[in-house]
Amino acid sequence: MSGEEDLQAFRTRVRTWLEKEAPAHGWTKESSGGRRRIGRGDHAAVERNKECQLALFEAGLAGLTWPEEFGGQGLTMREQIVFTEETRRYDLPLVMFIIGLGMCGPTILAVGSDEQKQRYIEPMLRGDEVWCQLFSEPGAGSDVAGLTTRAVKDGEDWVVNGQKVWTSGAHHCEFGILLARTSPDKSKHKGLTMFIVDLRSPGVTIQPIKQIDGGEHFNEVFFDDVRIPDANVLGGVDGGWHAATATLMNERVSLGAVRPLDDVHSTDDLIELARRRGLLTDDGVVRDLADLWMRERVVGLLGERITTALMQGTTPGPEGSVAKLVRTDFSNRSAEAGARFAGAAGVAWREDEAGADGYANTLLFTPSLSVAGGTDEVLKTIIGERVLGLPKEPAHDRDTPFRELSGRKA
Amino acid sequence: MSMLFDDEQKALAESVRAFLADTAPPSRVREVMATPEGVDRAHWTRCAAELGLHGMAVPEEFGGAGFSDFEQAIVFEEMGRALYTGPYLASVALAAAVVTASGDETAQKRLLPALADGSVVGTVALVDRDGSLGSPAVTARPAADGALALDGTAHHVLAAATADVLLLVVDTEDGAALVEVDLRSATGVRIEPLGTLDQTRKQAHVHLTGTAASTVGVANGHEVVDRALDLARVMLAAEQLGVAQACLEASVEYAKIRTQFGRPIGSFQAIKHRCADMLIAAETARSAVYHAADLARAGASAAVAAPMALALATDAALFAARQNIQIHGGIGCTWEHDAHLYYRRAESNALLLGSSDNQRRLLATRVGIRP
Repeated sequence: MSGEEDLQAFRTRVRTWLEKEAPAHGWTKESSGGRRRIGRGDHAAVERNKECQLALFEAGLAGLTWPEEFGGQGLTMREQIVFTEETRRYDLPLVMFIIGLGMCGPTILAVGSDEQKQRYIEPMLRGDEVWCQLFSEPGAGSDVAGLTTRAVKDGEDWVVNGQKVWTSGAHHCEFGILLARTSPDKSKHKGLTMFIVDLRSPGVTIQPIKQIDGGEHFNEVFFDDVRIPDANVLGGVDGGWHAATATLMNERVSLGAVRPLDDVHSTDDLIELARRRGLLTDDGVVRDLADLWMRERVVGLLGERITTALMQGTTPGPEGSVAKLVRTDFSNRSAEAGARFAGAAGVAWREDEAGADGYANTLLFTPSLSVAGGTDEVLKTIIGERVLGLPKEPAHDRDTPFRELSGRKA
Repeated sequence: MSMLFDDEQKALAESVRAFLADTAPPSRVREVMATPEGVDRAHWTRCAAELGLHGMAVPEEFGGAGFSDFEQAIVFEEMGRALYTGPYLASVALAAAVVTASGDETAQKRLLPALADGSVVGTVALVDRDGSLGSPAVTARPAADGALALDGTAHHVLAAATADVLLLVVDTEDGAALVEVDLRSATGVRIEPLGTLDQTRKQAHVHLTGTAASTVGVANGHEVVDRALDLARVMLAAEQLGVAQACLEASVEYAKIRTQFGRPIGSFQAIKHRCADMLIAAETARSAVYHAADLARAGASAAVAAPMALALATDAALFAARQNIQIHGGIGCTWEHDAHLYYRRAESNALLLGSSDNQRRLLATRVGIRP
């Protein structure tokens, strides 16, 4: 573990770099837009993201905790936390890399071969190659292990057929980590394999999905006889569930604790809104604002408990599991309060008024938070079973060969 | 910033938990709560002598252990978990804190060591005739030797039947003054015990008739009590956290062994998610309580953190105490099962230092939401 002096030196280095680079590139809070999801055809945003990631890489600030031999910095979680703290005052356009750096990279580092790490990690850190995650399917949402996309060995290749869905950012990605069924004669969790797939391969079709907020951030991805070299198996044939668990754990940590609460209204903004609209004479409004103020603070405090544990080199306890749910709950309450306090202007506005649709957009964006990265219900089941040690629900499909399960075809 | 326990704090929590499980288990709690006074004075003294619990946050120069408010909160959490019947809230979180906040060194030298070693039990009158936080319905008039004579009733006083010393704020010619009544030796004191929802924590009205009282400190009495109240809110919040955690653990334990429809009820999502919700409420409260206690330790203002901790910890305790009864089903509704003792404590605590609505209102004022 790094000493306090080294850590302070690192903080100074990050701060100095940000003070110089962030204003020069417009990565400041005022210019905003950095955190917004990138829709299809938004080439300018893609370029902004790539430029930012490359600059970080060249400054030695990408892949802080990743091994040096593959292009990382070989530092600890402590430096990662310091970096996150320092960047919080800015608005670095890095949303395009959340899945690659938060999930795909850690999975490759955890279960990949040295050749795979050598080939993929550095381009990922440079932002040259962007990654997505291909797990969910129309028939396999919360029950990911029930997926039916097939991969069949054919000579030195695997041939993949099937459909993935809810694939964030696939339209600007070069690669994805794909979960497919390789052994339907084994039980559902035991017959899955993870692959690294080049999305530019013949037979890959990417179709955007229009979301309730009008954006096109998700995609359907179809695989028609797509050939993947055997060398792209990640974590061993039929070892896909183990690899996927590593990925999903990373997803929950990155979604729950590390990101600042900048995609919903801050309570300070809501207080200001209520003041402007003359609502502060209403005791109910004041009470709701006090409640929001506390819940927003708790999201921060849970994050601090998690980062403190990580800084001390220990694993976060129950607070790690509850962080995403508490955050989602606050976000939904904040969106609802914003719409309520904004009144008529929140539901109808002049088209030429900049930002006037903010309350509506937040209202339309927040429901997805209770679904993405594990639904609220799935997370509560995980808390019940892994944190509290409650018995699992009896599952009739856990030990049966997958092809014998009713309604399953793979 | 430290909201995680270090090794010493973990050891403190464990030793208090073990001591209370050993010497004041639920069976003993029930025996003590069935007595009129509701306090086992011998056990109270043992807590002081063997573990030094009463003087945890009292400075060493006044006979205390000189730990911080953070350690004090850890003890309160364990007391809540065990539903301890001793007058810890009244004597330690309120009386000792008020004496400390008074700035009266003579009173501190006289009272704090006795409160710390358990030989004197103190309490504070905090509420008006209706039971709302405010001035007790007691008037003061000058008496001989610069002392005061009090008339009226201090309502809903915690541990009044046990306490040796009562502290309260009365209006005098010189303004609101903090005064002390010696409940053991003063004449004109009548204690009227009350029926209580929480039988593990007794209350009484204290009727005063020409009762002698002496002033403590020269500061405005309301300001002194308000300062101590924020600290007491943090401690009561810690206690509510202990109640919530105990209810969560009891529910989980029962959900693992109770079988219906051929499987443990904890395997049903309806129960599993309810337990997860209890954990979420408890961890939410824990973050707020440890944060407030950490600020208090550092000598920073807990003016916002204290009502926040109490509001969230009370929400968690109320939720967990009710769900605990629900998850236990029929047995949870019986006198025999301990679930109702926690329910009673949680509901009673919810009102002791202002309701969670009050805490939200207080917070709204203090963070500037309310102009």
